Amino acid sequence: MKRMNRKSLGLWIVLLAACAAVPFVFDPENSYIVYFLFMAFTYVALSQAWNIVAGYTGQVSLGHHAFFGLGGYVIAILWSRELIGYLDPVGMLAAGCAAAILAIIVGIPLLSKLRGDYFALGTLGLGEILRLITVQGGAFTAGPTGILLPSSSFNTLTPHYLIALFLAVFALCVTWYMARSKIGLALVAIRDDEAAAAASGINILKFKVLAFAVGAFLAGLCGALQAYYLFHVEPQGFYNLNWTLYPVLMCVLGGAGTLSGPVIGAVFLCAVFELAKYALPEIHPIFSGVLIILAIMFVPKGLVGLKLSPMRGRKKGAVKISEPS
Amino acid sequence: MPVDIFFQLLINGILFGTMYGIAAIGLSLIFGTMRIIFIAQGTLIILAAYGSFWLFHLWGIDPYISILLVVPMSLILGVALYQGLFRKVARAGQFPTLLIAFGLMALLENLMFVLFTGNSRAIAIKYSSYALSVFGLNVSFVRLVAFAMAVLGTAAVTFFLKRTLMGKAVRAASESLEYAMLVGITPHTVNTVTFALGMGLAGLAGVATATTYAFDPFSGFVFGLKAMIALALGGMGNVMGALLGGIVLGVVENYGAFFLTGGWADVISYAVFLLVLMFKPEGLFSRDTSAKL
Amino acid sequence: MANLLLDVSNLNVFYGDAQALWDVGFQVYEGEVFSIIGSNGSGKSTILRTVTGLLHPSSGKIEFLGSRIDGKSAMRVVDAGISLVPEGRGLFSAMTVLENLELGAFPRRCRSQKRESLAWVFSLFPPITTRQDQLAGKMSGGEQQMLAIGRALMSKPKLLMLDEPSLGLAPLVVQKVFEIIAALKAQGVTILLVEQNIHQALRIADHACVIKTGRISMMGTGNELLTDPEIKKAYMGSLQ
Repeated sequence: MKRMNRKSLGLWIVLLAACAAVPFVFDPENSYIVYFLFMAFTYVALSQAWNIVAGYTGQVSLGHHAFFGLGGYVIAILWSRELIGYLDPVGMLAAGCAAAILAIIVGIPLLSKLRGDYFALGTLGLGEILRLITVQGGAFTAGPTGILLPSSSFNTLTPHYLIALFLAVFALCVTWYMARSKIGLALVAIRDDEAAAAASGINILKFKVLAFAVGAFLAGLCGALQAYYLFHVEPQGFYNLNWTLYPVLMCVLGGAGTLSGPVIGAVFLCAVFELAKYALPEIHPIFSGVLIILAIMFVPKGLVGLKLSPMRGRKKGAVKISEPS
Repeated sequence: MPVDIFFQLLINGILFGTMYGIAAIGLSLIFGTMRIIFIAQGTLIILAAYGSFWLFHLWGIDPYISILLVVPMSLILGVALYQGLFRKVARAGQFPTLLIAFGLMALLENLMFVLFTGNSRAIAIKYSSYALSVFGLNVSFVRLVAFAMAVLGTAAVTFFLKRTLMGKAVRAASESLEYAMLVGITPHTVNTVTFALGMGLAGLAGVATATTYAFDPFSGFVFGLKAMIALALGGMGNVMGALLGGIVLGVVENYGAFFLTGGWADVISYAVFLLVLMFKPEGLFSRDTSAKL
Repeated sequence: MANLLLDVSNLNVFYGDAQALWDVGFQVYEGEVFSIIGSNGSGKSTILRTVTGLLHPSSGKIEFLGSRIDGKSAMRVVDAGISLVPEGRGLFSAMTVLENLELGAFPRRCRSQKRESLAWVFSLFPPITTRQDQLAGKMSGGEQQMLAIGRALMSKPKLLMLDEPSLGLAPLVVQKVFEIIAALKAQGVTILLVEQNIHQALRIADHACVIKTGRISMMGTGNELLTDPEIKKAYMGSLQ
């Protein structure tokens, strides 16, 4: 990881301050930019969360939306029973922790098998299971119609914006910290060659579950924030595959396994989607699919990879055979 | 529970389950050579179902005749999809391949939604409501035919794998790609073959679905998951196991739907699935417990 | 003067960033047995895997019958007439003996001669003739080795490469394996042999080389190396 030198740290701080100032400069009621950046920051956080699990550790999770939805429901259930309040940090923390705990419970058995696609498969099913359980949940989860939250609490979008900004920065910091620490080294080692990593004494399961739990924690926080924004938490919207699809796309397009990749990908794609929504309201979910395919095929290293100088003359090393491990 | 209902549920479960089974066989084949679980399988089955549906509604082609169109088209589509999408990333490992499949699934679902609307479709034809009496039980004609299709499809695939040189090459590559390369088998060749076969089976399952079931563009996701459940139950790399896994799932689902109200049956299916994945990923029927996994 | 079959020069091979072979070079002539000996991890298997196309060298040349094969895919190398019996035999254990052999004739040019090839292989290895429908994974070590060699022969290769054929086999079976190699040589098959069993490998070799941590350290005829005092000291221990 690149060291943060003074100059670049300075730039980040200025950028951060500028972002924080936005809702005070632009009127949150009337200006579009506050909403746009709110969503963009949320997606930055979500993409970065997925990045930790998939980009850095190489585990393809397709159940990001499970943790997102769970976070939203924790808020909804707790708030509707008046155990927490509006934009309550305790509530959000609970949401994040619930998601992390779920990740640990499901992650330990799923990640202990060497096969990556079992994990992908299992996480895909996880989202579905949670959605179905929620629908069947009767009075507890208010079933398919979902839980309505007191929208009278809503004042302005400013706190949501700031929390989203905080989450995005937090996610970035977590990723940055993990990447440059021993944890990060272990994760990348696992991603690049699991057998070799195991042979050098790394506790594979511990690190995989850790990454998974951290990613889930962040996703849960995002779901919680979204609950506080939408004031209506229901299974179809919160346990929706799109909450995995978009972050995955953003991360991959921006550059999985890099720090700034998800940021670039999220901001870029949010812009593209907003424009697309404006121009072609019905079509744009198709784009996500097409874009993921194109991104993987033509910019596998992401937009970030494009910016870097062309690779030094690659040593023709071993041809990688996809082998049953 | 009265005996005849017990058997009724059993029969229906078996008949229905074989459809999951052939979808699972397709998944198993693709998994064998490409080492990924092709999560877009269900969506492609629904695409085939739409194919059959529109052939019927626009041109009056009987669904069972449409098999002659849908299956070859699916085979060709399989080759095209592999060559166009997956060939480039096949060597790069599971990560990009899984993501492309994911993208394909999202793309097709939404494309079908835009083109065909989200309304539920089903083929209603004069024999949709026929029922036969087998051993005193009521058996739906279309389900019986779907069962027959599944059995024939399985037999065809098994014949291919056991008796043809290319089929043996597929089995060899599924066991060890490296050793297969040493006898001159090219990964891309076997990948193309299994992918095409997988799509062909999806085509068959699609026609079966269209005649027995109401579907919409997003049914594919759930169907695909069910096929994966069947595969997980039956064990990877095992044609008969995949079929049996599908049957088990069909039966469990059917009994579940009878005893439990509404959506709980689905929850049970998924829960079983997750449990199997977590604790016995080699499946319930796998004869091979080697560390191949 | 016999034909030059395989000409390897200045071969450098990497596994990722780790270099495995440094400037490796040797020649194999038609009709001979060429042995490469060395200890575990010295790079012997890497040489064979590179020749067969599973690995691509970062620099260097491999010429077979005058045309370059370095960097070509495994399929092309097999097509050209080189067959490798890998370490661990490379059998498809879930398939029968017959199926394994049939797959040996997978390359297009071999398919029409499948029957002939089968007959030849059966004549070389009578024990597997009676077990055609047995699963390859259920056979004894020696039988598996015979099957593996037989399968490699199905493509009528001009060059047969064997990676540690004696590995994991009882001494009596090892003896049998080397008798087979001698018999093959007598039938005109050129053999490139990689072995840890120094004594047998050098006894049967026309020419040989020693590889040590990825570099060729010695080259000569089989006899020369067999009687070389350094080799005797380093590798043969108590063997006289």
